Amino acid sequence: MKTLLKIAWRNIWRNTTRSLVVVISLAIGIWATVIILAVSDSLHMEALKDGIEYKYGHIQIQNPDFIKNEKLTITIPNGERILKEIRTDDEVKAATARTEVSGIIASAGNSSNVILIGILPGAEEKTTMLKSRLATGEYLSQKVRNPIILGERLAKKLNVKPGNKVVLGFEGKSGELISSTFRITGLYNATQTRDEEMLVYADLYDVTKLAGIEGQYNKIVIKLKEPEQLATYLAFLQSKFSQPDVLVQDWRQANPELELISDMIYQMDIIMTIIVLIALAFGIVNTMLMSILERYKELGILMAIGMNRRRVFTMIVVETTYLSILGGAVGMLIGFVTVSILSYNGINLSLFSEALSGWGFSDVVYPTLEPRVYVLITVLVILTAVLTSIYPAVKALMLKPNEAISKQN
Amino acid sequence: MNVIETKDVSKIYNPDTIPVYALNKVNLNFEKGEFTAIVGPSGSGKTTLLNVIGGLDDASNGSVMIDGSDILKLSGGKLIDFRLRHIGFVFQAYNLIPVLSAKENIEFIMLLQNWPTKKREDRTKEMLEAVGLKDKSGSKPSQLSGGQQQRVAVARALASKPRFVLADEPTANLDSKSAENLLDIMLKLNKEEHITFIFSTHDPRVIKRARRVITLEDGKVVSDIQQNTEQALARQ
Repeated sequence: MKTLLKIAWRNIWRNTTRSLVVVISLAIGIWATVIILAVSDSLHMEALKDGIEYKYGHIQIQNPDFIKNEKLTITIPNGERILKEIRTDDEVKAATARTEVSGIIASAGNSSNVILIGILPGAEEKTTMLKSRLATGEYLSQKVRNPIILGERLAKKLNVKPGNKVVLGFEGKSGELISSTFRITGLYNATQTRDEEMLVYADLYDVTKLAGIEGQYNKIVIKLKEPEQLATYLAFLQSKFSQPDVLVQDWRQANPELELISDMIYQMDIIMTIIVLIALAFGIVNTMLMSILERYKELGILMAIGMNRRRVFTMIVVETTYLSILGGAVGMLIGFVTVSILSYNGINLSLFSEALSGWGFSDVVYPTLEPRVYVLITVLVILTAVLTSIYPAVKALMLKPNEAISKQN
Repeated sequence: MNVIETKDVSKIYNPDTIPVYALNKVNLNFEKGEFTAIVGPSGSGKTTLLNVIGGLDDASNGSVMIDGSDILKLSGGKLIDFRLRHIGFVFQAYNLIPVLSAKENIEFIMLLQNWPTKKREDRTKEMLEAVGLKDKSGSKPSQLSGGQQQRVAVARALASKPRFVLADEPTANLDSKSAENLLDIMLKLNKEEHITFIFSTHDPRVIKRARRVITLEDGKVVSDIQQNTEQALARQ
């Protein structure tokens, strides 16, 4: 075997240019895969972070009827007690409650459809990172009556700024139209255009008071200390609040669109990787077939003097494996270096900001890739190379030694 | 004692249309320690006969008995293994493994046969000395002259002590001095190791020094002459 490895290694350097071309193309393919996966992975993580950190938390509790019919009055039975209990659990970092209702916002010059979200400002700050998104003004300040924060896009559309008043209209407890004046304390920005145009945040007490449903919540949002505990804690809560009018869901279940984005990115990653691997496979087959054709006579000699088919087969597979390991290592190395640089400097995608923000992605992407993905790509590339080398190796085995020897004589 | 026995060996191309006989009922016996030249004009079937005896080509009819086994009935891995264990090959174009050094080429077959390291290294050294290439052991084939390459090829063929060596025009690409030198080495090894040598050749220098000369024409044996060994040796 040692001799076989030695011969295979020397064989690949018999045609240095060709081997280098293969190694470089493998490296470029892997480098490209690493970059693509790192970008999509970071976009994916950002979408998840955006969803979990800014909006949905890890777990949501709501009345299942609220999902079907988003009415302010469809609340969680004993919501206050549930929230209190949850806050005492060790797994929970923070928990907050919300109300949600569709309404219309109007300024002196314009109006727009919105979703009014009533939040507990202090608890929300601990649970989500809404406060950190404030671009101008203040968070929901208690210094003013009926404070509200808007997205920058909506503010632009309404031509308002912090300090201005807006009128909010929404359906009350008995279906009546409630209309009240709110004062803008701050403007936030969001990665998703739609959020910035649609979501307005007010104090939950103000909203529930206006609607006549004080002490009631539409949603409870929970953030865990350790995201890894999600499945266990979710199961615990589902079992604890196993009643028809309380629905406990993780962020995936509660926000199918977030899961859709997750799945879509995951599938795109798979497709991209498969495309690269197929391209590599064709390159390898081509090179190895050329190499075998050039060494047709020599392979015949080897078989004539007693090298059996298993050894010839192994030799060709080993040659291909050497090339793929070399290309793989170089590709991984430059991929790792590139991702490290980009993860620090970021990639500016502001040219596509409209499209990206529609999916919840920001203009600047900071690619990162988990170490296990590097390992996975390496394994896939080597596996592809080994599987691909089977065809040229089988072709080599089909030669007849006497014909091969006499071919160039 | 017969090492090889061919019985009615025929090799026919286009048997169903216009049959061409590369070999036509060849019956030959080769004994241990022979130094035999197979001669004849181009296309007479010399190389085909060597290929059939060496299991590199199949025959249309007949049998090639080696140690009681008909190698024409062996197939695939068994045939390759048979060649590895029993036959040494020397080719006209040397056909060394270009990526291996002279030493590595010589020990290659022993490696395939799984010889113990010490024994293999000793034998390689012995063969390098026997063919006068001790100082070239690390040279790659491309760094050796034609004559030196063919000496390595002979050493490779003999290193694992095969029952017989088949050499297809071994001196065809060599100058006179190299050819004589190679023949000296082969005769010496033939004598010392008692290994049977069968050549196909056009080369009068080889024919002169062979102890037996078989002539083929149109695939048939037309003569089979034992030469005086003493005379042959005296001519050296």
